[in-house]
Formats: sequence, structure tokens, C-alpha cells
Amino acid sequence: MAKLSPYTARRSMISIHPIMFEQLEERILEAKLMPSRMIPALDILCHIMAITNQGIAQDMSAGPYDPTEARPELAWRTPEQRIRRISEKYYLGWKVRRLGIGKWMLYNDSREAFFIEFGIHPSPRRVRRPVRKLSLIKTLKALSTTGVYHRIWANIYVGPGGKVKGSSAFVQSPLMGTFGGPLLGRRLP
Amino acid sequence: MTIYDPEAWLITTLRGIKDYAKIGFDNAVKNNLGASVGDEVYEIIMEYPSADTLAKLAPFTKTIVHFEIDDIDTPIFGMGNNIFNWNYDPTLKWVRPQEAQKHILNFDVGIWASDRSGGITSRLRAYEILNDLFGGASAKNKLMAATELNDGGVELLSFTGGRFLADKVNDIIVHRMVDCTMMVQIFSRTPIPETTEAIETIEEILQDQSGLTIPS
Repeated sequence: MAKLSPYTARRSMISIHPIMFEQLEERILEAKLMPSRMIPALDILCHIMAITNQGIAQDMSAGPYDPTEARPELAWRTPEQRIRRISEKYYLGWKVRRLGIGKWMLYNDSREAFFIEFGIHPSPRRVRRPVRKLSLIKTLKALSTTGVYHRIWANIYVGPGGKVKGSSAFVQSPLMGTFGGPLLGRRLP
Repeated sequence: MTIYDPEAWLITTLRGIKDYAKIGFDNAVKNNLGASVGDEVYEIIMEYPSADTLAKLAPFTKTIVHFEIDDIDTPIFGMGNNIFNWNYDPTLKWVRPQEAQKHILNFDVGIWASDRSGGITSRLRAYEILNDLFGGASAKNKLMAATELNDGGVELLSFTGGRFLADKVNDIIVHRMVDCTMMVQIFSRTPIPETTEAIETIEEILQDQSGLTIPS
């Protein structure tokens, strides 16, 4: 079973910890014994991945709070520096939505999200700050240190025309391959 | 054309991709005499255009294509210390090991076209050329062939995405492509260490077999 640790912050439910993914992997392996449980287990994995991605994106958006724009030196901060919060709509705008079984989407419903992501601004001064893309890369790197990474091979970032916004991933089973490890290209269940 | 050098992996990768794209775009447009004139229409920049660049270039007389590195992933591969070449010197009895690494470069690719540089049509054409140069199996082979000379090359992993939108630079409408990602894979190696960093070897012990006897 996945371990859900209570988080002390207000209006928060869980905190993400690497152990959580190890336990998710155990749950998925356990679910292999009963195929009907397999898809829900993988759905939970996708959900937790989306929440992790959301947390990292929020972290990159949680720059210094400057509601009156009194500190111009804080403008154009990059995701690594954390983007300045003026109205906080961008920071609070990161949301996770379920599109279907095993399909979860991270999006930002604030108006400025589009401009920040692609560096769109009427003034000649513009900086591209791809929080969505970099947070996804960071999520995958974080997951690469956990036991579930063999199930996730997201090497292709698909645009809005693709079936999955943000990333393309396929899942494989550790037990369906050869003795040397999982066979590439196998899909679960 | 810049050839890939594993010991100057980042420089030669960027220059190799730039040269490959530049030649590809140049050859994609011909004049009435059949000569390549694409360099008069397109400009390749290996970074996201800075504010100064955009202000200087606007209104764009050429359609700009930019490649910007978003991420360099250096995953662990193999076991141990990844020494692939020990550089053994039998005279001086030392080794000077070289380490190999794998890098996956994630690029953001964008197009900037103004009405003067050809407008929406120019942007569409630029994407078509980009797709010819970087999309598909033949592009993978072409990029590798263009950058390789018996010492590794730039391997194309993927070229995906692309969203078209209108933007403004200094009140001039700019037709852009955003959200396009290209990933390439390369293998690098560390330079041969200095002689002061050489490691002494333990030579093999030779046994004179003529004196050996089998105990009865």
C-alpha cells in the first residue's frame, strides 16, 4: 500500500516522499496477482506523478511576493530562481485534472501562464520561463531515483497536438521481460 | 561543417547542429538559376533570442529559427567508473584513463517570422524544413553523417511538438512557433590526463615454466 504522510501545511493532504514510490511499486507488483487491480494501481501512480509535477511547478512559481511591483529587480526571474509573485494567480493556478484512466493532466488556469511559458510580452524585454517543461523534466529525474522508474520511459515531450499533453510515456512490466530485465516496448497490463 | 569531437562535446554539438541546419535551410530555397539562397531567407540562432537581438532585428527581414538548450541530462550508464580507455604506456608503466559519459540534450526549437520575412507562409515553410532536417529516421541518419568522422556524432532522438501563435515585438506582429522540442544524444569523453596524474600499473608476473616440475 502507498504510504500517505499527513502534511502540516493548511489545506494540504499529502507530502511526496521517495519511499512513497517504492511502496507504490510494491502495490503494483502485488496487483499483478489480480489483473482487475492492476489498472487502478497504475492510475494511482500516474496521479501521484502528476501531483509531484504540480508540486515542483509550484515550487518554481513561488518566488518573492511583491504585490505592488515595488521591486523591479525581481522581474524576469527564471524558474530556477523562482518567479516573482504579483497577484499569485500563476502560483495558485497549477492544477491537476483527470482525463481518464491513467491519464492525468497538469495545467495552469491563470492568464499569465501562457505568456510566462513561451516568453510572450508586448515589450521588447522578454524572457522565456518554461516552468511546465522544466518541472516535468525535474519530475522524471526525481522519479529516476525511485523503484518505479522502470515503468516510465518519457523521452518524448508531446505538444498540444499529441494525445497526452506534456509527456508521452509507456509503461512496462518488470516480470514480462527476459531474465536480464524488462523487455522494452511491452505495455501493461 | 563542424565535426563532432567527444572531448569538446557541447561546443561541437551546438556548432554541428547549427551548421547542419544552416546548410539544410540554405539548400531548401533555390533561385531561378537553381542556386541555394536559403541563407538570405532564414537565420539560425543557437539560443533564445535576447531582448537586444529582437529589438535589433525587428522587423525581421529573415525568418529566425532558434535552438535553445533547456536541459542536459547525464544519466549513469554501465557499472563502475566508466573508464573506456586506459591509455597504457608499456615503457613508462602507467595508465592515463579516460572516462566516457552519455548526455541527452533537450532543445527548445522556435520560429520567428514577420510579415516582411514572409509571414505565416514563411513560418509554415520553416517548420516543413525543420521537419525534413530533424524529423524521422532519414533525418537521424543525415545528422549523424553530417557530424561524424570516426569519433562519434550527434544522434537525433526526437523532434516533436510545435504550436503556432501571434506575438508582437515593438508593436510589429511576429508569427511564432513555440512548444517544439528536439532531443539529441551524444557520448563524451574526458581528455587524457596530464602525465602528473598518471597512475602506475601493476605489471603481470611472468613465471619461467622451464623450472616447473609436477610433484609426484
